[in-house]
Amino acid sequence: MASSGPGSGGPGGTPGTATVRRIAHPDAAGLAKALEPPTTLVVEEGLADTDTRPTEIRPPSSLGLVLSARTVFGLDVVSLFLNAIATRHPPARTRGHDLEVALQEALANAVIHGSLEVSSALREDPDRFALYCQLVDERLVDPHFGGRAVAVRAEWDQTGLRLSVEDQGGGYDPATLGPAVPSDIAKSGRGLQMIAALANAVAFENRGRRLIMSFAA
Amino acid sequence: MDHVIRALPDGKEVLLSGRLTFADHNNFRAIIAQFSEPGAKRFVLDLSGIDFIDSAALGMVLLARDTAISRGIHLVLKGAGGQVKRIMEVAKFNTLFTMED
Repeated sequence: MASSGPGSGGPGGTPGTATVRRIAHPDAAGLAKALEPPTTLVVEEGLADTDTRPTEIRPPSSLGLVLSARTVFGLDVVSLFLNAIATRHPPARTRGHDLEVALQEALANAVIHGSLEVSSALREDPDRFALYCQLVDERLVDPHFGGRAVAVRAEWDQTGLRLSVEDQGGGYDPATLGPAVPSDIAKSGRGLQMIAALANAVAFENRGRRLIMSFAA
Repeated sequence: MDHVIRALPDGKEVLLSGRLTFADHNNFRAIIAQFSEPGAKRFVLDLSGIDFIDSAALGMVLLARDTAISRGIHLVLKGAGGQVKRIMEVAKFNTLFTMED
């Protein structure tokens, strides 16, 4: 089920008409359909809090998606979102692999650590992995955690493409991150390292809740 | 990710397919649970059907390695290609695992 209607271009937006589609209980086919042009923003209905929704949508060169952490976990959002971008901005295909890896890592962090507040430290030890699995499963179905919004936004122009991913978790100080190069047998800590290697620039905002990745054309 | 487990003369082989990501923790738990079964000496993870892997899944493969070592099981990664092979090379998996084509 999806509904659509005009939305605000938002502060700082250039002229254009935002088309917002609201979708309940999205599956892959429903989300792919909702992301088809001329949509500029897709918002899942029933989120715990939609304050995170991207408001600075600048049609026609941007696309936003706000889903629950539970939905992001259950769907291949990366492929669906990047396909939708490539439809609107074919040059994005030239950096398709970089975008795919970086967005996957950013969404994994936003869901597991940001939204569900499950520490990757629990994945370091086989004896604690069962607890990790239990916490993830319990929190995915808990509206407080699994119902949190994860917002993805893409903006593009002739200079390149910017992807942002934001969650509604407690945030963190990026300066407290672990070593830039984790040990070979570390089970976590590679995600941001991979993003930094693939993107041309990376920035954190909103106390670490928003990650902005820039990719030059 | 989907997985199918089949018996080998000296252990088991798991054929993985799809995208291997942070969302596959329960699949990994099921696979690692197989290490506890008696008689397994060799365990092969066939990655030829995997077209994408993320860093969380890399971590879970390393967890499987830890468990295999503690149980005296030889864990083999087989058939990695494309993005999966590249990312495993960057993560130096060739120094940590037996990698087969």
